Amino acid sequence: MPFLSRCFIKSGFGALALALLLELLQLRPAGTFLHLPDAAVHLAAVHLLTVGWLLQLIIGVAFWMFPRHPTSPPRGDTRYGWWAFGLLNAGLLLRLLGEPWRLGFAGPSWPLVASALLQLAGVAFAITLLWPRIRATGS
Amino acid sequence: MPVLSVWLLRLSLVALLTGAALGSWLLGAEPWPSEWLPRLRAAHVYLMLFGWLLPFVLATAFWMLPRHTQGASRGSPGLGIAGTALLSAGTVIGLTGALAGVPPLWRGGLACTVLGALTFLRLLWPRVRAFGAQPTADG
Repeated sequence: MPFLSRCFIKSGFGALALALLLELLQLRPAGTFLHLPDAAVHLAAVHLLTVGWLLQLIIGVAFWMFPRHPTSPPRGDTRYGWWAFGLLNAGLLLRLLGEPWRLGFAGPSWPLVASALLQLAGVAFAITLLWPRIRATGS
Repeated sequence: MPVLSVWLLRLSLVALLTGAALGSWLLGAEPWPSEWLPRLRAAHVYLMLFGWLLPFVLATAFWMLPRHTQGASRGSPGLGIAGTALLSAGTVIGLTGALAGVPPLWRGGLACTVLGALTFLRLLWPRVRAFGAQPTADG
């Protein structure tokens, strides 16, 4: 399994663990962490599950297993993959910090705007990496 | 990789990019309420679940699961084409319904998606088998 796939998959498992912890956090006793809004915790958990875990797991496995190019490099230009990895995780992290900050402490909205742009760019890089490898091959 | 998987995987990546763009817009625009936000949110959720994740997983399974040793190697080609057409139509119709705020259209898209997914499950079910087992095309 290529190193980039391992990074995506392990990062996905980390996001899964964090999402489950955040789900547990929503069961906290009433009156604790009053400034931490449930909406922010719930949204963070959902996006950790869908973007952090599922999307990264899928990208990692697809990069590993999709039909390889007959020419070199066989899995395409890995720089696109590293950009996708960095941008997606930076965007997620920024959202994890920015959403509770804004909803619970009246923080600024720029971290959310930056998070949105980073994640969108990450998805675009991932698609650029995988698209040419989706092709019909002999059965 | 079979042509049907190629078609569905490319459709799902287009849905991923579109859904991510809508999600980014929602996240960035969160502080500025608009009557469009509920529609964009519905379209974002629909694309990410039924446009991206479901077709991607089904298309990959259609490609990778053990093939039949007799008859059509991946099951009935007609069912495969029907499932692909239904999933594709479901994505387009459901997205249109969500964006236009027309619940019957949204529900029609969802019905197409469900029928398409069931068609694929009919194709995939007999191909989920233990090593060494020799199923036929009818399971």
